[in-house]
Amino acid sequence: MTIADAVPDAGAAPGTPRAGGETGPGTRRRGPGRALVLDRWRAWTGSSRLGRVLRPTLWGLVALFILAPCACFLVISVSPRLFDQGPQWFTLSYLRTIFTGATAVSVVNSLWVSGGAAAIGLAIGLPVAWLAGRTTLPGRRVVGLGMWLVLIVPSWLPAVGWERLVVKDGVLDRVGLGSVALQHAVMGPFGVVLLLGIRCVPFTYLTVTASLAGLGQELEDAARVHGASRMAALRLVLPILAPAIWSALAIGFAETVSDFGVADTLAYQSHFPLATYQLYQAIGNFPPSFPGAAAIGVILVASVAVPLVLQARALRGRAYAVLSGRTRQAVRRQLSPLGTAVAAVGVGGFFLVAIGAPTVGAVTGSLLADLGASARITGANYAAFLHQAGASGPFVRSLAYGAVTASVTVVGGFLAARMLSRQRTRATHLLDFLLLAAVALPGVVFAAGYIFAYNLPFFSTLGINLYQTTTLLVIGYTASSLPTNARVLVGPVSQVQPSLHDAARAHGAGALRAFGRGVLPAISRPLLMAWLYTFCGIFLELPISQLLYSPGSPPLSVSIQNNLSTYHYGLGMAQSVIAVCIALLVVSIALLAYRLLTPAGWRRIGATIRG
Amino acid sequence: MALSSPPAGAAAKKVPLVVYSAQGYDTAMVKAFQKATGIPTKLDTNSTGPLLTQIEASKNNPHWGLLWVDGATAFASLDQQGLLVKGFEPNVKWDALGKANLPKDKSFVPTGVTLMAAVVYNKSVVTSPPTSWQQLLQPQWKGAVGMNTPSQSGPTYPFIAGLMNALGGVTKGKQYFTSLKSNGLVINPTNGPTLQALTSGQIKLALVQSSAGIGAEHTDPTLTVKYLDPVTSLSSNIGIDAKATKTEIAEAKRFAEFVLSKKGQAVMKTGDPHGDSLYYPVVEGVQPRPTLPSLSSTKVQHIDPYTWGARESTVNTWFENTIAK
Amino acid sequence: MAEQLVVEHASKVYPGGNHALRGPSFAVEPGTFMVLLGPSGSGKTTLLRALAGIERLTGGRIVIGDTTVADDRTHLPPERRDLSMVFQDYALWPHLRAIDNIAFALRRHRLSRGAARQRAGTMLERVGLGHLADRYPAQLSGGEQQRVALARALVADTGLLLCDEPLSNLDADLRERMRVEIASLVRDAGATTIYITHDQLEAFALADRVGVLQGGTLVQLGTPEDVYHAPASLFVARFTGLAGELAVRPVGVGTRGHTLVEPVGFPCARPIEARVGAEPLQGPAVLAVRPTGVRLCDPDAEVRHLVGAVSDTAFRGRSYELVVDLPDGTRMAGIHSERRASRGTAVGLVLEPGGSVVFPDEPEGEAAHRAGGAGGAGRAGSAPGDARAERRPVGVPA
Repeated sequence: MTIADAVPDAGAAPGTPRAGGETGPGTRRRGPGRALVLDRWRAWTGSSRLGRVLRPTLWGLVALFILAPCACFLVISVSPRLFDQGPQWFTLSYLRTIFTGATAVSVVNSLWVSGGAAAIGLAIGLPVAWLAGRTTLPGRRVVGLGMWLVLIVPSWLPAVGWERLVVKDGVLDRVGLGSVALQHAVMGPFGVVLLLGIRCVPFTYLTVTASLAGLGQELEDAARVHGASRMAALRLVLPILAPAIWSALAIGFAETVSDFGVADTLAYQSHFPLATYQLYQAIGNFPPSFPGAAAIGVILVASVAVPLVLQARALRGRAYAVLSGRTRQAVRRQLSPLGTAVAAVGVGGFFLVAIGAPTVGAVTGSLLADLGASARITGANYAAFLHQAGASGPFVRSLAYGAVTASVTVVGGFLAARMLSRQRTRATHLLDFLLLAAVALPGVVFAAGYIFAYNLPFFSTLGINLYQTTTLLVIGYTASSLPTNARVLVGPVSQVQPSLHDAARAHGAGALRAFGRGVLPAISRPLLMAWLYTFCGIFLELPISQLLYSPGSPPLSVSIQNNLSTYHYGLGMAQSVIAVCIALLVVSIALLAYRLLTPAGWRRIGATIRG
Repeated sequence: MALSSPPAGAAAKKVPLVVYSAQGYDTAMVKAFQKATGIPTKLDTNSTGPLLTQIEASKNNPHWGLLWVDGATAFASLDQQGLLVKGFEPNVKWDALGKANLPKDKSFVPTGVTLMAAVVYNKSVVTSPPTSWQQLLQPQWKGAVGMNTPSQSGPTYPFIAGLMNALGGVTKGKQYFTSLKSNGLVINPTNGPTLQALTSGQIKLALVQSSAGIGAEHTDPTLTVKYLDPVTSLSSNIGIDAKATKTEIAEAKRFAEFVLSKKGQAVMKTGDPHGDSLYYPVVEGVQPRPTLPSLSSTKVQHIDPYTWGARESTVNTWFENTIAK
Repeated sequence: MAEQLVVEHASKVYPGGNHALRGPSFAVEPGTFMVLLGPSGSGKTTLLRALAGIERLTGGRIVIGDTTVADDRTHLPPERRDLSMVFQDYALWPHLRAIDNIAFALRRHRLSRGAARQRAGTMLERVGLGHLADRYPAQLSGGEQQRVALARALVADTGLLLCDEPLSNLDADLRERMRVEIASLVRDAGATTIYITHDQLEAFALADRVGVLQGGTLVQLGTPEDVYHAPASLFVARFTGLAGELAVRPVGVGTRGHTLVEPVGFPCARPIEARVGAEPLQGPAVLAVRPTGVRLCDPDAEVRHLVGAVSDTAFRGRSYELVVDLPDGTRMAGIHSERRASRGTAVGLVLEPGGSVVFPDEPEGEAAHRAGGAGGAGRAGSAPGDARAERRPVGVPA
């Protein structure tokens, strides 16, 4: 059943509890009180009071669960004493360290690598999105799934795969294709930027695909009719995707800046230090230097100002609402045989590099006997996994965590995206910055921040012990996913014309129904994508899981990491492969269900017709 | 959704004992302990790094009962911060390794010993393995030696510190590692990747924790393990949270005693047969697993965790920025 | 430099077998304002898009000026056809200011940016929006957006201008004003214009030539007067505005080649003289009556053909419009009257041969296209689309 189906028909007798109220808080009540509660809920939602309540609530939640923990962590860089992490109440010495020595080098590396990676993500993701969305590219239907795979795979896996390919006596050497030049290219800044860039491709692909969906054919037609060639028309229309493109760039930058998987593996092996590695090192050293880590965190947060300022300048004062009821379905462009060949080879090549490499990493890690010394294939690691007692516990747990987090996050992310796309006030600019800054913070900062903020003795005296409970873990997951989500959703949400909602309201729907009938269908696909993205991210999330999980109930990533980091590397790899497959399975099922269960009209949005 | 709440209102008699552990056999041990004593026990199993991060980040309001990880220096540092219960010694008969690893103020309890670093190599590739640490600097081993980085691998600092100690101090030690680097030392994050570099042929000698090396023998019988003199002992220890409730402290002490009991040692030896179970026992009357090489002809040194613990951060940073770079 | 346009046997079959165009052919002389009129599904949009080059024909030929832009081998892309177009949704690029939207169309002239903006500014002045040059489309009202779209289409002075129902998204008042503006601006520009609409009022008001499309076929092409006075088929008659239809049978030959008919369901005072719209007139026939073809008289006047009762009176400022129910329930609408007549008043109707055309009855399927005469050509300023809105079975033979 879809959400639209769940909404009752118009014309239900006034005063009768409607099924639409099922989403309200009054549902658990039974008896005479129920109608009253429903009425109150409807009264709430039925007017701008909803906005008046929602906005401060959202701000409150953002402040409580995103800002406070991050601030607690970052403030340690200048005031270690505040959380018993040093003797000084105020010092600038930690901040100074980021401008000196190895830390400074790593910070500079991180900045340019992130910029470069975001650019690569755009340069590859944009054409691929266009080819898959608007042309007769062969195999276009699996492109989306492939992008999901790229997104789902934890970043250390391709890094390890690349390494295994090019190192001395690595896979390529064994098949006689190895070369020192290739090794140097991959095991160095170039390889690091390229690998991180590839990881940015799905961001561009997903945001642009969502936006392309809302970009009607007429705008291109109008350009062609008025004298623009195919390329010129494309150049003219592309800027309409600007919100999505900038969104993708900003997210790509922030996600790269906060990436640890590559920093820890390929970059580290290539002696190419990145800031996140330094940050982890500051924490991982014993005793840990939280103030030192916090100082690096401060610079990472500050760095997202760069893409944001660029974005603000590029988008200033323009409206991009193009998706409306009048939007004409786009026509798929028939590619010429040559064009088809070039496009297919290009897209195929991308996936070969993006997915082939992690496959090598996973295969050599989990399927080859004696840790890859020979090419003998063994199922021992998978057998060991199956025979491990309680092996499914972490999987089930993380599936549940992922599902709950994704659901909460998508709702919050949508609301935040709406705020960001509707009013460009100082408050929303601030929100924009804060959200992106949160993306730029590595997960460990979030996690440690949560410990500092929610494990204050003060809370314990109040009887609130959130630390190491599943509640705080899920809140932490949600808080860390929300920023990316909100950012990804800004693109599609900003394309929805207010009239869609207003029209539903005008035709007698309450705010919730208006949303369900008028707006949700238009953005159902991006919402689903956001849900899946969050789900996959949380399913394999490591740093927050490690520091915040409730003792006795380890999530999947902790279980994998414990194997990888100890003596059971192959088993950990096998677990990783199974985990990635499960995540991909969930994605496939969700996409299939969307195709089968949603009303046809929902899927029409953004669909194309053959020209 | 089902969110469990903290066990705040649990009965006063038996509070749950929270065990922070990075041991491969911890799940089995916790199960056995609960069964033997009826004390509810919650296990936070993680790598050593995140466990210590948790403890440090939550030290103004800790929630752990006992910590069970490898490496004495971390415990020395926790002890110096006043985070550990002092003066507790379980009623057991220590063997020589046990005696050597018991700290003076009895702020933590050794439960087993592994050695840092074992030299692991492929018997068919390396026919004449090195016999001293100095030999690793010879051209013969150029680009052929691999080790872990201490910032990611907990057991590696004791190795570096032990070698520095044996060579006559930090300066001499730095010279040694600098020479090793000039001879093409390959740095990997942890035991696993270092061993993989060995099996894939990227390096010929892997300097890893003894248990990891012996474990690798199981999966790849062409590998073998050799100790160079001196080799540094790396004890796994239990430390008890000084801020825990009296009940929980008492429970933690029972846990330590249980671990060192016959029953507990049996669990330790079988709980992670290809990994952490490959340790040298610290109590008399318990034999190591049969695959462990005898220590009769090996010189095992013990470094003072308080002296070397204080140097950990600077040495690691130096290593990271000059050797691993 | 208006261009001649020739369309020969244009056909378009969509994948799935939907025939959107079934080979209409026509030629449009340079500078002519041609309106293609038809209901939805008649193929007018497909034809327009094929002219623009957005849609590729599956057969036939299109020649603009001296250039064959589409035939079996050729498909010239839109940008090489030297034309411009006003889109139904305007298709203004949301990220460009009004003036830049217009200036874009000048790219093909390779003007400097300054010169292009200047010409675009002049054009914007001509549509009365000089003060809004720097607004983005989202900041403009519907009418303003429409003007910008029109300015964009006119600024480049192309030989052929295409208009895709440009008024359909405007309210009645604005619609009428914009119609006049379009007429004057386009005629000033002198371009050959193809304008599609489903509104016959718009068509007659704008066109030099009107082409009526039905099911992908061009069923009539002529001056508005031709089409109005001599509709080629019952469909054309219905679609271009009727007061009503009567089921009749031929009873004799009248003067000047007209024929005499009588209603089938009820008696009439004397046979009705009507123009023959199409042969053969055997069996059931339909008399299509234009609003201009009905005159009121006293119910007992000699000249009367029919007698009915007033069921509605609408004050139209200059005069009144009556709806009269005939004895069998058939309704005649849009009948001009100088006086108000109260409901139920008996009136006589005189049907003029110039406004009455008789056709063989169309098969059942065609009845779906029945456009109620209510509204009719006499009702200037009627709401858009009412020809379809009031689609009710008027005088369907029993």
